[in-house]
Amino acid sequence: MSEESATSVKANSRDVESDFRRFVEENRRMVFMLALDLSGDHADADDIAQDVFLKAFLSYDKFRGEAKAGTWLYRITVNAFIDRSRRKAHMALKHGERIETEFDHARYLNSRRPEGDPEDLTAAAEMKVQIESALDTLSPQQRVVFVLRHYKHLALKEIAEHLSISEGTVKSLLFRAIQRLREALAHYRNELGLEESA
Amino acid sequence: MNNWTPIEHLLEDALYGRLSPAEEALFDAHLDKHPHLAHDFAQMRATLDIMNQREMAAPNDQYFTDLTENVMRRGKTTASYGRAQILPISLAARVRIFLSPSNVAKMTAAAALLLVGFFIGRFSGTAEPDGQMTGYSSYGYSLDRHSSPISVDDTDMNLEDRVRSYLERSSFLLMLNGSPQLDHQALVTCGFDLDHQQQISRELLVQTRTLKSELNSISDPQGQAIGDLVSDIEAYLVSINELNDPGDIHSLRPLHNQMDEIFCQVKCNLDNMRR
Repeated sequence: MSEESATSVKANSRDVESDFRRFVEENRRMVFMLALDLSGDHADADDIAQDVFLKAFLSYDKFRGEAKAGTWLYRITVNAFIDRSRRKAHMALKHGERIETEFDHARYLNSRRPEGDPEDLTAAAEMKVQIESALDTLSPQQRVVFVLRHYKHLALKEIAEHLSISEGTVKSLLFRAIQRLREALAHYRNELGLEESA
Repeated sequence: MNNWTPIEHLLEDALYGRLSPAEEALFDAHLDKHPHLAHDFAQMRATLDIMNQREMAAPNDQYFTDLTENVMRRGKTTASYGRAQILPISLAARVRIFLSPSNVAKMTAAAALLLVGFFIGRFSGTAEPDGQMTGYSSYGYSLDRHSSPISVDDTDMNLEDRVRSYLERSSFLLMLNGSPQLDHQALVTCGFDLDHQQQISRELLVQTRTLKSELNSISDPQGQAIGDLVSDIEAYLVSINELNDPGDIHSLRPLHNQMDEIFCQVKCNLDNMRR
């Protein structure tokens, strides 16, 4: 390779690299927050986000500059979450253990001592536990559809497009997810006095 | 009877408060007629109100800076192993790489491996009293991709034969996917077709579920060992289905290598059982 073409390849490589860095900077918050909403865990979200961008890095030449890169990222984040959930479930079944990952909470979460009435804080902590436990009863697909609809406010049609499934399937997954959450939270609704008599 | 049916199409909009006045009137009228539905609906709304209280703390800017650096570092490391083609490569360079001695050796090895697999599958069956062979062909599948190497009518087979057939077909898939000597380029050269592999794995997955439930009902250790293997294979098949890019097949290697060993043991056990 001549010195001139070697220089041009190097320059091109630097271009792609800085281009990709900008791509990560533009999308990292969206990918991480989606992964966090899906998994409910910072360490899992961190792993998923890194895997997603690594995949994006490997295929970057295919979608560089395309407007649909955001949609594509959305899809691979969801797939990475489903894949991870299955692997976790499989590992837990096989070895009775969870996949533990690391996330430096003290460094990244600006953790301050929460202020307020201790009773309120306990109630908030209890609610958090109840919500996450209820979400854990959903299948990965039900959870994805529920999160995209309820927390990301996507329309059923958009969810269907992101997941490459029919709108009817999305509707049915959403309905089953809500029914399952309803069952999982029955006792807690009662505790909160939200349960009406039939 | 499911009384939701007449207003089912409105339920999602009703839960998220997006009904038009006319739709709302229709929905409310139906709930008035069916108090138990009104009760169910109130519970669903209360559930969603609780779910609204979920708050996920976003990490600080330092986290996102570190995330970017980690991704860039991992990306460069991965690319340096040849899994990514970040630099544009000229056609002449591609041809030179393609025909390099190491690649030719890999392609030959891959072709030889496929041929050996084919002949083992085709001719290694044991002779039955009536002279029929119980090799791949007798199970109703061939290596021709258009006739699908995995579509098998196993309705008339007993459990042992179905397990044997399933294991042989899974090992066929493993053999295609897993030679550690094959890099991405060699896979492409061998005509590795991810869509086809995913089609195979989906069909095998359907049979996995039936087999698992039957094997779970067997109490002897051998049956359980086979049941465990079938679960491992299931994880592998699911992983194949999740792949977006043929190059990612290498990420399954640890799982693949671990399974290869168990595979041999279980197949030996099956042979002993038969004798």
